[in-house]
Amino acid sequence: MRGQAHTLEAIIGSVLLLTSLVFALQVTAVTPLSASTSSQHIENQQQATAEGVLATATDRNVLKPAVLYWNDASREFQQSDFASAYSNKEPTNGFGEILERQLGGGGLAYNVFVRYQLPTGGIEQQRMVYQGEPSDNAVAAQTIVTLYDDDVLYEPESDGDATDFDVAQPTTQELADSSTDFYAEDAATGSNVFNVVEVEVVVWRQ
Amino acid sequence: MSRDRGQTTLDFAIGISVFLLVVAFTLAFVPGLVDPFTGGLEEETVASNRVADSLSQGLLADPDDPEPFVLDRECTILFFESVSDPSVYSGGCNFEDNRLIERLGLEGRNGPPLNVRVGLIRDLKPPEIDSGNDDQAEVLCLDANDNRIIEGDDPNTSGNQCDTTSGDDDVYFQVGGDPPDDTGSVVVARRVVSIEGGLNDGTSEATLVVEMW
Repeated sequence: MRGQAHTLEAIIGSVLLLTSLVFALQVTAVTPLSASTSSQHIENQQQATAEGVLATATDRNVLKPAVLYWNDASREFQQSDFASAYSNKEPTNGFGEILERQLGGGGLAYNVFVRYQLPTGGIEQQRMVYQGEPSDNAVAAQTIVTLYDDDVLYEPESDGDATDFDVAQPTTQELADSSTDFYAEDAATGSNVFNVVEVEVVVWRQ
Repeated sequence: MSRDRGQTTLDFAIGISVFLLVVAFTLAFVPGLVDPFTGGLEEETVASNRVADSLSQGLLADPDDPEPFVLDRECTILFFESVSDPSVYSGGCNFEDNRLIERLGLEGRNGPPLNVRVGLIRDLKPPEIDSGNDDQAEVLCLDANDNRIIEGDDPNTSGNQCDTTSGDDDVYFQVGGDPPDDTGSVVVARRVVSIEGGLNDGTSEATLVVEMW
């Protein structure tokens, strides 16, 4: 009879056991392949998807018109909705259609940047799509587009609808025209090349 | 329980049962602490990424002018068709004339065999060509009569536009076994690819899905 525990001792012993368990949980590691929204496998798929989107857009010849889809009167992308970039919608051209199909749903967010060279050396960045600050587990894919002096700016179809996806229509405004107010400048005035820009798509899981 | 210990029988019962419960819980929980370090699906994860990369950037590309993520139409059709009917393919594309497992480089390992299923899926939008008129991505299918790529029907038997049982030579763009119903044990790798010649709605991109278990 004297060897039996007090109730209080039993409860204190339980609390001690649980505390040591909680302490041991701090040691548990989360490896890169653990199932979570930042698992390395998922990031690899997102990066490959972004690369595939850029390769498809290049193959269908909609990436260059998207880079040139610039309204130089208002100094913003055509039919964009926030600070010269698209924020709540995709670009209203073929590139935007591909982005919406492949990256649109499924809890993914993406930014698209266009990096161009300055005539003085150095690189500047123009936002095309901006949906916020990327998370810590964002991935990116890039591709290069070459712009020539005789490339023209593109404009949407004149169907009065600013939200549908148009086939980008070429205008007659060449990049080399002094009246054209493009976001990039002629970085190679002595040659036929206007600028070499890099289009980058940053994808992350919301 | 005599009164000089200051507790009743009920107190003792409650205290001991709480204690025993906690001991049992701890003993059951401790093995779970080493879960991240035990073998998971690592081999399938690595292999599915390798297979998806090789298919989207090499095996199905145009043998004369390969571009990453652009699939050659004829080679893609031959790839899927020759798994069930090896006689249609006699070389000319970047893959060999052998079984699916050998083509993907998954044979010759020690240990249990890896199972794989490869497919091209896409949701075609306009209702008149969206099989089943839903917003689900379906496996694509080649309608050989008109040489157009449409959403495949499942089952792809007679009476549907994608009919692999008739003599039409329709090709269903999915090969491999059926994954188990237990979704936790299947690893999926996806790539976005562009099929030369386009699909039935004028676009050309599809999702290449490689499932391994």
